Amino acid sequence: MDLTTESRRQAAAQLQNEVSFWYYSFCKLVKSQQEYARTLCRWIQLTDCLVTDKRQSRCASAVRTLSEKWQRGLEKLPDKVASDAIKHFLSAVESIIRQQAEEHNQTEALKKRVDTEKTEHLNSVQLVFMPLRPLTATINRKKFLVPRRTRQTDFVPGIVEQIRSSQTSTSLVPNLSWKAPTSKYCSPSISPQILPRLGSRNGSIKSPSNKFHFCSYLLLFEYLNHRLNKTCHGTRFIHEEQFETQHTVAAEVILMNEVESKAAQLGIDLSIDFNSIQLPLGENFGIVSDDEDVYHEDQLEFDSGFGNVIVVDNLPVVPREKFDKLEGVLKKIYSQIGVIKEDGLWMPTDPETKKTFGYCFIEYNTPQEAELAKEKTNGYKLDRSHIFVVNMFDDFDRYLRVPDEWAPPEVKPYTPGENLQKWLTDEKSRDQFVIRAGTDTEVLWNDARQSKTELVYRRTFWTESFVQWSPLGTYLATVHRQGAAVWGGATTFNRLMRYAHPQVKHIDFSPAEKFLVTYSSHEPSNPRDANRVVINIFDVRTSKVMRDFKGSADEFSVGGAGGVAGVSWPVFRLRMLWTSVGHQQTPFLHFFPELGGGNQPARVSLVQIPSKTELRQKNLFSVSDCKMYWQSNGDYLAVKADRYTKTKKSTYTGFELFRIKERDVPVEVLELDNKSDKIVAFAWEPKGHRFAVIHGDNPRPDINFYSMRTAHNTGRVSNLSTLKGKQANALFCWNSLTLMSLKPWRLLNFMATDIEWDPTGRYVATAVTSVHEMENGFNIWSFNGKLLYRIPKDHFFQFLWRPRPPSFLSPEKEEEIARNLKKYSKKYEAEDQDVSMLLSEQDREKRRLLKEEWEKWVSGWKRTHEEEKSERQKLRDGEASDEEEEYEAKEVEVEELLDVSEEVLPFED
Amino acid sequence: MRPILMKGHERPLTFLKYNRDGDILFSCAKDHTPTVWFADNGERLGTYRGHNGAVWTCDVSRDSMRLLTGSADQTAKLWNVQTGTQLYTFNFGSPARSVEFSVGDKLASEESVLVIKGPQGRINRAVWGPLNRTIISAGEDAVIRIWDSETGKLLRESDKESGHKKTITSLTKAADGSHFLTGSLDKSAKLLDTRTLTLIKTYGTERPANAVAMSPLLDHVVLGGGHDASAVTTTDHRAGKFEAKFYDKILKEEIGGVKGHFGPINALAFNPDGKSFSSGGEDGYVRLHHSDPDYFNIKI
Repeated sequence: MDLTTESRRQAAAQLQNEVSFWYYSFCKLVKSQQEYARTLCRWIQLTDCLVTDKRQSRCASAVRTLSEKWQRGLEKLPDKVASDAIKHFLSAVESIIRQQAEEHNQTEALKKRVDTEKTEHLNSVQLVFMPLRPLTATINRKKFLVPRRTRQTDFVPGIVEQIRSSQTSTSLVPNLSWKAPTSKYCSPSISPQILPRLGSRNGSIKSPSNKFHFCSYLLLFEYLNHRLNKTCHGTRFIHEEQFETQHTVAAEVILMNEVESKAAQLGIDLSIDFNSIQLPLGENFGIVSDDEDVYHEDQLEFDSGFGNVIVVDNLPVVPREKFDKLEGVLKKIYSQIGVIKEDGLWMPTDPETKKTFGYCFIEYNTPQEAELAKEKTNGYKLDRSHIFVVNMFDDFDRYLRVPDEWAPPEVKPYTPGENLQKWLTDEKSRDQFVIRAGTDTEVLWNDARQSKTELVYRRTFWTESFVQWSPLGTYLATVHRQGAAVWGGATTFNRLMRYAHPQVKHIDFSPAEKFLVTYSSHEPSNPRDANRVVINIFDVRTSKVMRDFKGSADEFSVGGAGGVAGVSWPVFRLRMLWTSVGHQQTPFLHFFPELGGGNQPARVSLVQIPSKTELRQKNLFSVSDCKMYWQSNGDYLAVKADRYTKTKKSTYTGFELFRIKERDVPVEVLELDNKSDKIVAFAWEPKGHRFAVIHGDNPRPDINFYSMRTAHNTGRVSNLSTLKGKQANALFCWNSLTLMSLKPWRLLNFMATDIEWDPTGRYVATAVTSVHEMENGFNIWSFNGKLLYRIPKDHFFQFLWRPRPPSFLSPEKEEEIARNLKKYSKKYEAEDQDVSMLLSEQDREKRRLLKEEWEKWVSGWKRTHEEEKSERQKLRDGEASDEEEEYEAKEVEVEELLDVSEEVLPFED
Repeated sequence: MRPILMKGHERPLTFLKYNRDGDILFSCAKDHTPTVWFADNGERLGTYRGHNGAVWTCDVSRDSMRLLTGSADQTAKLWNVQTGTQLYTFNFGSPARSVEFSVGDKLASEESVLVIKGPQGRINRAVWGPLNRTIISAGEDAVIRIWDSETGKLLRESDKESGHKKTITSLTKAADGSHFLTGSLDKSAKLLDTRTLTLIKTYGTERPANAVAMSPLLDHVVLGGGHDASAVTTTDHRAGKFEAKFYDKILKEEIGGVKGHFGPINALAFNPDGKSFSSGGEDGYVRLHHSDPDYFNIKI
């Protein structure tokens, strides 16, 4: 039988189109002709009766008869017959097309069937015969590769090759052979991970150094299948396939013949090049592709992963009767920790002895729960001989890769590092800062003299949440999902070190940049529990974990023995903890709310961390709220206490000021002159003894400055000064140099969300971050409030000056500089002068060029305008005034007669 | 000088147009009545009643006799400027966003002598090119296109790289039609050559540019805009940036700003003599500014 080719079908379709178009055009033509004749006829009739003149009427009637004749002629046309004929032709063409389509469908279905059978056949042939006759299998594969199923066919030879490469003995083949076809139902995303393990498992079993039952790998795989089958309800298929494939082992060759004979029977030449057959896009001719449901399941699997599966080892090996009991016990233990997925506990049994293997798999809802379960129950004593060994499913891969032989670690040759403090030696003594806007993070020089920035380094997606400078400015830390990283270098930024800490939330450096503390807290699965806190302390230069802590927030604050048993929460230095604790807001200064209806007072107590001794406590009466402010050095602490008035209707605020560094921690009470004033903000002078309070209810509150010492007596709080009625609603970090100049900033840039002084106190940056929709960007001001430049950036997130380490100069040297300040400043002034000269020169040049360029445009436009003048006049009907007339202000005097009145004046003599 | 506040519209302003002599000013708003004012003192002369939808645009003939308005009621109407009578109504299948008399006042843009179809999204502005040979369109897809006005063929397209990134909201031609200025929601305005569509200048600003105008007298451009109207109530009027900002046309530097509106500026127009300009805002006011003498001596 000769098959209809694609081109024939196309030709038929085209013919059908053409014929139908012909039919419609013909009908339309006849119809409009008739219409026209009729209208013409009618019109002539109408005009005919209007005319009275005889001669004309005769002439007209001649036209009339003619038109009537034409109309009749048209109506008599055998158009009906013609159109019917075309219609018949059309229907004939249509029937041909239908037949063709049917035929096509049939062929497709047949092809499909042959195709599937071939692939199945191929799979089994390859699996079984590959070790014996790999050559044939490869040839066969080449011959039968079908484009629509490439994914699967490619995959299966992959397995075969794995098996071959691992030199598995033939006795294992039947064991595996049923798995390969079922792998169709497990996702390719899993299989490539699992199968290499299968391949290398020979080595693993032999190595006694591994402490896990690696012979369980088959069962792991089985477990996967179990899980997948559950999800895709594909158990039935598995059984069928299993059955079928077992038989195919023997019947391989016969099947092949069968396919061929079947093909011959159906009249299909097996040498068809299947690549040449292409279905139209988006059309499957009603044949459901069995690839699709597999594909669908891939997606499902891909989302979940195996991070939430743990493997519990060292379980008792129990016979079938006790299976349920053990399962119940396990469920009880593990459901306390987190929510086990439905059917998430699976304990494989030996099919021969019907006993368990002594391990099980547990699947949690989240990886966090799984991790927690691993931590909590690893080493759990069920009884004396059964101590649980719990591992993450995903970790097995890692354990497998442990080499059998110990290899001495490679000694890296020493490479001298870059000078990480190169930026301090900038010729122009500029400062750097980092900004985050959109996806970009940039480090820039603040070139205030030229009123611009200069890019140092830019990187897209540098960090996943924020960036942070180390306290001395040596490193820039970025935060990622996997952990933190620090960057630095002489001229650019290279990654110096990475610190692994999944889902890290906060980081902080120790003041001398030696250690990095990373912090993350995880929502507990049980809402009653406190958040789980993970803290790691790394050595910055080696990225070694020096200390870590895992436990609840409560445990952390009291220094409980979380993490490794027997090691109490370590403290390097008290200073270290100030920073870390202050950052994470974990209360180590406790505030106990009032109990017992006010009889028992609220208490603020200061506890020293490593020793847990209470240093100082203070009782507070009728307190509604309490807030604490630490001075940056930890010298002072202010506790803001909101107290109820006697009527309990309103509150007033007082401050308890603790002097931490003095003996017995003396406490002073400070109350504002107007007790009912609302406190807007409170801030300590960094590293100083002064603080400021903004208070007041109206939009222009007062600012009070206090000092913790007076000139004569260091133990008294004194009021330094008061600023009345300033518009401010937040206090920003001040620089001790410019303590008093903080007021105008809010006025200058009232949208500003962040204010940052540069480390030298020369410039201040105000930034509008993306909390506002508009005007994102930052402004750089000089210390005396002059706007230097403005950089708008959309989606602006963060602005941070690069801190400077304390001066390397000795105090004597500093004093000397201070004495000879004039001499030094002269030099800098001269430099400034030069720069501004240069700048204005450049500016003038730039402007001149711009003007010239513009003039060129304008002259070009003028010329074309002149050229088009005549045409424009023509368009305007010759109106001459093409050019806009010059406007001139003419004074036109207009006399208006406003009022006329007659008055009779008495004539006086 | 103190601006003159003209309150005649109840809804946000959409368009402002001076006549050629610069003595009268036409304003269109989302209420349905275009209004005509004396451009000198802001006195209201009259209104044109008849539209049944927001009026998006208008144009006045060279001799100030005919007014053409385009409205969201899918019509454009031709009016007698003096009497306010409707002379003709053009019907369209969609709201008329832009109308303009051609050179010689015989054809109006957006007229069904020729229908141009093609671009995706709304066309916000369509104006005549030099000698009526081309039509320039700009709209939501942020692409400026030049069409042949005879055949309707697409002649040029602004390139994506240097062009606007968001909806183009306004387009004004220079007095001689040689170049034009576009304002876009991407917070920038661009100056382009009418014939070649070459990008000449870009003026950056901090807020969406809803309206743009070019001074016919000095090398100044004015950009008006502000926060999205829907967010106006949530922001301080200072934060909304409802200023009309003056820029130097050549140096692209900001000269100054004119504050006053308490909503985004939707329309800007310069008096053809260059000595006054008016702005219309989302707040429904038209503000007529006569420039101080200082303005003409600004040096940067």
